[in-house]
Amino acid sequence: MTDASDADAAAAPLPAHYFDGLSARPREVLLRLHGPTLHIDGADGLALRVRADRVRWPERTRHGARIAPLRDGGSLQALDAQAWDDWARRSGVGESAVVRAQQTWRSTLIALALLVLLAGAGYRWGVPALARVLLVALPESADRAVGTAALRSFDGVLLWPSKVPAARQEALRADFAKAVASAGPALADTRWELHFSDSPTHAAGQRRGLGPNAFALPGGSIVVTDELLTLLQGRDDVLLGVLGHELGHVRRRHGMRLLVQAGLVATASSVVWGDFSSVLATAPALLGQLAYSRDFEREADADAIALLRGAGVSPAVMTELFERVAAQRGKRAEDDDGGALGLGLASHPATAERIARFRDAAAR
Amino acid sequence: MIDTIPMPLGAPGGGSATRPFGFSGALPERHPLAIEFGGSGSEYFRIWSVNLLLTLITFGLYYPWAKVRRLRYFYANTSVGGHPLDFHGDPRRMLRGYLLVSLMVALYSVAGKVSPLAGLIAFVLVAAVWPALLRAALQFRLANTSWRGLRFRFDGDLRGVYLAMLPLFVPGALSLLGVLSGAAAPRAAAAMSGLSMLVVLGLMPLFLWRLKKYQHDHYVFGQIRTELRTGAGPFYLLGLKTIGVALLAGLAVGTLTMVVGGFAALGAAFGVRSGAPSAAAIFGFILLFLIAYGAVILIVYPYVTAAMQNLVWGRTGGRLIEFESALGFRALLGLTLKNWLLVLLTLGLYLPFAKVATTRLRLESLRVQTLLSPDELESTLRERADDAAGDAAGDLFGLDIGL
Repeated sequence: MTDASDADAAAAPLPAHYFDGLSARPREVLLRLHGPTLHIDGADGLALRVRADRVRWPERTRHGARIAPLRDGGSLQALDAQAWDDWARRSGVGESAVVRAQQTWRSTLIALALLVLLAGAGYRWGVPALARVLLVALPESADRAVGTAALRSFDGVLLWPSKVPAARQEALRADFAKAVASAGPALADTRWELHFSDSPTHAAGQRRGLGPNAFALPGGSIVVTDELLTLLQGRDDVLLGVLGHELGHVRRRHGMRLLVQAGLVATASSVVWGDFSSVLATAPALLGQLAYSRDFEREADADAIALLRGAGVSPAVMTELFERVAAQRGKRAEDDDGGALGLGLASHPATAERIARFRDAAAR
Repeated sequence: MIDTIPMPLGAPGGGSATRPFGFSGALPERHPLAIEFGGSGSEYFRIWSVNLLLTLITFGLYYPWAKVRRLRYFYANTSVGGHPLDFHGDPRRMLRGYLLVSLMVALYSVAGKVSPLAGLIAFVLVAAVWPALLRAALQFRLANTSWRGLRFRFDGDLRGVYLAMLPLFVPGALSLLGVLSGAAAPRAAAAMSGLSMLVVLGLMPLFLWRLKKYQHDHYVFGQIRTELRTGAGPFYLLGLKTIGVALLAGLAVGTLTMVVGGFAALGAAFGVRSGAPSAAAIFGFILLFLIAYGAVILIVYPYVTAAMQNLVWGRTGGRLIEFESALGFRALLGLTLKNWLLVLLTLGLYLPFAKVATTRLRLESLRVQTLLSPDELESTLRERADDAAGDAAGDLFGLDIGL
């Protein structure tokens, strides 16, 4: 604590209430700190001596009462908080840096600034890094389980049996396998499985599918819709780029990373917001998904470029994809059908930026 | 709502054989205890910022210390009859419980994503230990709360909490059956889960009543014991009224949304030649929907909170104690709207102020009087507080056991 003689001289005894923990009746006492010992003396003859470092001293605040619980179940209660604080300070009862920080606006503002920095850095680097570490611990069998479950849940809801002839499907699979094999070890070692599905946006029935689209699920399932094959008719080289992009998602376990990252952001935001509203707590997690998935698209595009190069195709062919999508979207708007076109493309980075990326890759 | 306690307290109504204390028929003197909350938003803002930072830079390990500090601040500022409350929880022990529960939650959320079966097993496990955790949380919180040097106590037993939660297990088991039979007969499974949803809705008031009854029947302070003196009826009435308020709010907000949305659609129709909804119009609709949804929540939530507090605390009492609660819906609605607006405008910085203001309103609408002079209250036993695991669970899952 502090120098005993010093404290004795400075601090006059403090009147307070003592509760023995067995009765709710307060007893009037005087408190005096003699070096490491706290003296509690009552007018009714009470004379307690306790070790000052065993007392759970209350923290200094501007509002609120002061209660100091003692080890044996008894407690001391201040009659006046201000007088208690003065006495504690003069008697040499220390206070933690946290308590001091809480009581000044300067340190509060520093804490806030650090919070903002921390949140930004954690969001940009911390969460993805942590997710990558956690993903190492998560077996790949988990990916497959998630992917299989997801694929099954789409059956008959978003995806229907493909109308593309089996021979054509096999040919596309073989082409893709050949390209993957020559695309370098990272991509070649990735497990994949190619599925073809029909997913019309507005067929005769009540069906509302994805339209022209391709997506990858954790564990290696890559789904290509019949509508995408129709859109890319005659341009199997472009389709190869699309498949390379999806294989990139598989190789980097983007689906699982997104799940883990969303979980991490949700946890962090529930620490901050959870008290107040669970709706607000989930909002940052949703926003987070968007920003992260944009990063993932960039990475997957890089893999698409690698695959195309390995197959001896110029990455520039990918501009055809964006042109055809844009053309179809224009036609659709005139067709008076909102449609779900480009549902999967919505989270992709701005098309212009992606076109530029593939053109640059072709030029290099 | 206020004076609906069925039996006037202190009147020797129910036979004197069970009365442990020596009242000889005469009406005991009443001791009203004023409840005041003196916390300050700006001070809690400082405490909140510093402790949030510490919690984040320690990857959450500081959380129990921050929580104890927060509770001690709110308790020290809650004055009952001129004496503050205090919280005694030991952060180190709470950390242990907190880590245990975090692990459980992590496993639970991962299990559901790995496979439906693993998720199912995790769900059954969590459902099985959940009531026990709730009881542990209540025991811990009460045992670590004191007033005038005396600890509170929660003496509900394990059997009681499982019985109280029984209404929740029935629909749970139904939907479980649905999931299990899902592979074989999808249509039957869908019917089963639909049925269990209905059952949940129908049993919700019953469940809430049993849960609140379990809680409020087992609070002990010195010689004082409390009980919840109501059947499930008022809870069903509250449920119906809530649906009514939600419908009214939905209608009002919906009409407004339609009007605004209609103008937007008209604008879109004249703006775009083909008449197809443009991206902006779709975005606008989504935004309007979100606003409408939020508005309904903002109106219904304060209604339920106020009505529930008044119902539960208004009917809580004991031989030696009597509570009243007069939390006004309009007051809470106004405060909630103001809080949300300011929280959104300040990107969350107003949160601590909102918390203090809400606590003040809710606490100061409570009245309590004892029929025994507080000086005469004595502890009947002194026992160790239970494990901190329960308290951590209560916090993570958002169980409100404070007020």
